[in-house]
Amino acid sequence: MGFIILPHTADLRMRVDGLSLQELFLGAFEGMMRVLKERKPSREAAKIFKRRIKISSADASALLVDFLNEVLYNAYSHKEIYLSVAFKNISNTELEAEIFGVPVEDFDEDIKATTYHEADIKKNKSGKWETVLVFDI
Amino acid sequence: MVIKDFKKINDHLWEISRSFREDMRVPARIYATEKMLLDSLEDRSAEQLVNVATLPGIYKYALAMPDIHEGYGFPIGGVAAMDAKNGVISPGGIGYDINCGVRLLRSDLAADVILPRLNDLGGRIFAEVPSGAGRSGILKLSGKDLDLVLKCGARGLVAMGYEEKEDLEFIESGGELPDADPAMVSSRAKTRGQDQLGTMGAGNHFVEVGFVEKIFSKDAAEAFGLFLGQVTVLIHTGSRGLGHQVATDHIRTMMAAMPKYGIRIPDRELACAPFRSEEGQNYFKAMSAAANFAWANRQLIAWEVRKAWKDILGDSGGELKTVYDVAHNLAKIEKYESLELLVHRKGATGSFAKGNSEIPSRYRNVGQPVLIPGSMGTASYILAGAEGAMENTFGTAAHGAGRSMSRTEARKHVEARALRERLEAEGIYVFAGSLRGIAEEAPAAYKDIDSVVDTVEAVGMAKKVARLRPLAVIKG
Repeated sequence: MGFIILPHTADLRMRVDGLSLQELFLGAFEGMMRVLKERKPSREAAKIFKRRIKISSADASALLVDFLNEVLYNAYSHKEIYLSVAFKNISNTELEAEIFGVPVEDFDEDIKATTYHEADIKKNKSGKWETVLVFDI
Repeated sequence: MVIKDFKKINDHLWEISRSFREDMRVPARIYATEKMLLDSLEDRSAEQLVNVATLPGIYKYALAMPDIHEGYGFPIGGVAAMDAKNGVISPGGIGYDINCGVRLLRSDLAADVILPRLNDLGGRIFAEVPSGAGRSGILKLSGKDLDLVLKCGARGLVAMGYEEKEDLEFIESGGELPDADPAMVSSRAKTRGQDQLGTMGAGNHFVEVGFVEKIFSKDAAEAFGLFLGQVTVLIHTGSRGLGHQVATDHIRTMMAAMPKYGIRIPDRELACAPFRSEEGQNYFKAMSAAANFAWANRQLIAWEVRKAWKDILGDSGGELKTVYDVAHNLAKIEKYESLELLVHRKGATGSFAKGNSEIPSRYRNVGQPVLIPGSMGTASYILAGAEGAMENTFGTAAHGAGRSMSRTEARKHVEARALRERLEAEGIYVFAGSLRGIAEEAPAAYKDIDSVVDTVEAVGMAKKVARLRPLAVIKG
């Protein structure tokens, strides 16, 4: 499970992978959070807030983008960085999760949105689920 | 893609024929020199332009301005005019930062008068204009007040006592798109934007104090109220989180609606719906409201800049008047060749030739002011819209220098402290919330602004009026 930043002229391109769909989603969540706040805030730093996400989308790729945009909405509207995610239910078209975060003063990067541009979840040669994501920054 | 895929129309225009890909409905055209075209082929921007050429209802061609570079959905610098009757509207052709744009203010002062106070002035603007990601502004609007801004744009803020009526005349569309409907903006978008009026944001957004370094057209400069040596202020920002959420919400709706209309697209980020459909109209009304929010945002930032100006320079500083405020991420209904077209501009700016009713009466004999900011520490240009734009580019010109290097690469190659010192040695102060931001926006990460502007002028999109040189750059 992981993420790697790839070149993009104007925005931010990231490749994420995982042994399962859940691991892939977790990698993308972690990657986006590290862009928003390079240093992960400490768990002891403040009270932990829990936010719930429940969405359905046309397919797994759209579900991933929609999930990340839900996380972004929560991050900006509550001014929080999320430290972890607990997936309650995840299929190709539905997702239910809880995200746990702490308040922050500001963010390191302004991610306007996660785009659908190159989102296309497929199995790679190593048998991992993989996709590229482009974030508008 | 490679250069062989293009047909050279002239030294500044290259065409990808409709036969290049089966799903293209029209050819794709890039305005660029050969070198600029070759540079653009380093990323996926040309391929993205070909994707735009597949959209239903696209008229004549998919166009790219000389500052073309890779985006998502449309390339940055992409322009597409859709038949308003039978064509689509695509939020990807406007982008998430709806009505990201530029406002230019002019002072009565010459640069040498403010040089001794420049550091103080830059510092005060940095303190007055909240910048960076996630920072709140001085206003927290909700309910009817926020709806007033969404409906009336800059005029809404004037009604609240922020700024003068005179500004409104010099804002594109008066800073108020009539189709705006606050009810089409989700409560989530309103929540994201409620404390963001008067904030700059991060990335390439900035406030820049500069001066008129060169005048190319005396008459046009005089009409725009510009003189050699005059201190100016450029403001570059957009609709902040509110606009980003509007785009997110409506792209999702359109993705779900496309099968109903039988629309197939090569990139989901080009999600679209017929302009006359319920989904198309709902987005258009929400986009117009977000655009109004952006004009109100630049209006409040102008108020904050004026406050800083007065604090530092007192009454002797005189007034800062709006020269013009123009959007570069927007879709508008315009008429060309007797047809009603929905012109999508993503990272491209209006450039109407003289006589057009969109142009403020004071400038109508000159042309629409075209504001093309350079990168941090380099020149910016003021041009006037010209006939070539009306004939060939749906009244459009380039919007900036255009990136040539990714932010990650820029951070690897640029040492921010050294860059700041170098710029200071050149007489340019940089006030920024983070060193990372300085490195990402380094001049080396952008194309040469002079080549972009020369191409704009060579093809007759706009004529050069004046060049600005920066003195102080304030950014997130």
